[in-house]
Amino acid sequence: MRGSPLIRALLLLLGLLALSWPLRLLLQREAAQVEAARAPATVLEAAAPSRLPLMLTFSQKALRAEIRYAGKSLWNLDHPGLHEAGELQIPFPKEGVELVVSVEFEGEAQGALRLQLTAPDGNEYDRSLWGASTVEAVIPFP
Amino acid sequence: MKRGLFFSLTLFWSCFATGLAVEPIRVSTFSSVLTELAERVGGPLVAVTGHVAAGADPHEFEPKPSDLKVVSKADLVLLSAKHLEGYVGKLREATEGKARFVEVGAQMPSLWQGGESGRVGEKVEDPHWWNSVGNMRRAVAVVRDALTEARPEQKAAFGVNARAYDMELLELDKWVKSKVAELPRDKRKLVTSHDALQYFAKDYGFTVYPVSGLTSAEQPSSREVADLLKVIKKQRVKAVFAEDTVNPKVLQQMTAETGAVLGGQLWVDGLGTGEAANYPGMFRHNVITVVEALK
Repeated sequence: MRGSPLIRALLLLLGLLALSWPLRLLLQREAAQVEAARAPATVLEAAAPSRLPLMLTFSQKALRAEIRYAGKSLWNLDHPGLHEAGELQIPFPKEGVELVVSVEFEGEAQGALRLQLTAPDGNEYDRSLWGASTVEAVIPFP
Repeated sequence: MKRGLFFSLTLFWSCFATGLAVEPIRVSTFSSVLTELAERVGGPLVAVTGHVAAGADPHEFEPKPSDLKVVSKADLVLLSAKHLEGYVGKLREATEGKARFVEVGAQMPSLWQGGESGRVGEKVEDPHWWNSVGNMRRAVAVVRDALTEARPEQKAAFGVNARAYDMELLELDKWVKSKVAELPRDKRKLVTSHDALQYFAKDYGFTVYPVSGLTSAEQPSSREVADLLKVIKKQRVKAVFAEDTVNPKVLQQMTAETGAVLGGQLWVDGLGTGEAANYPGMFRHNVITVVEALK
């Protein structure tokens, strides 16, 4: 390339300036994204505990029954009656809850347990558990 | 009396000789999970070569000439399928049509995830079906039927082995449900290195936020990382999980920026080592790691 060294240097400088503009825009956008991520986001509030009415109906006599939630025992019944009513004080998030229910029926015959749970919004959920002797199951609501 | 003794000895010898003469079915597998399956269902009636070792990344695996040599003598080739083995053409070529190929994963319903290109609407078949115990139980039946077809006279033996393994898986599924129930549903949010736990998530009510896509080779863009940081904060995710085959660098950055902890290492691409060296052990390890970290 021929021409004065000064003009060549000026052309090179102009070229670099032209390139630096889109590069700057790109870097700014990247920085803004990382900054946005660093900013404290609005966090979801953990669901507060609610009082959830729960009714149990046994098809036959049981020796014991237990309701667990999130690894904790909530309701322990020794020789429960055929109908039991209680209240669970647990959060009921929009995803729902899972109760671990275990029953020990008297004798070897097939038995059933009906669970009727009322959610904080008033919706009622009806679930059943079947089995002989000792039964344990994870029951989802809804 | 003598005649009876002679008959019994002849019968014993013929059974013994037949037993000795029976060549085991030569099985080649391309996933550590399928290796365990073939060994458990086939028992002593199969000789299994697992080409993908426990702890190895199946997304990165390419058969070597020594693998192709073994495959060329196989009676049965078991594949995970769902596009995981891109090299299947080489295997078919090596067997010259003599071996039966069974695409185990093709026998079960697929989940579809966003593609690697990021194009809107593009969906890719998720190959990680073994992260569902239900799918694994289906796979037991598929392998039992494949072995029975190869050796119909051993149908009863394969049936007994398959039932025993299936019962073990049924117990495992019950245990998983009970263990996962220790975690409230609104806390079942998994941030993992790559998108390998969708089948697990579907079965047990989790939502997965993967750092990268379906293969461990994909790298997330800075925008994807930034979006995930927002999700971790917004959803109050307590822990993020590294994987055996993926560099945990990005996850370490996430823990530094969000306050979430590194929840431990998961085996998601196949069997692992130690307590995770067999399928029930691997699954239990993953479930305990996840539940204890997110509690």
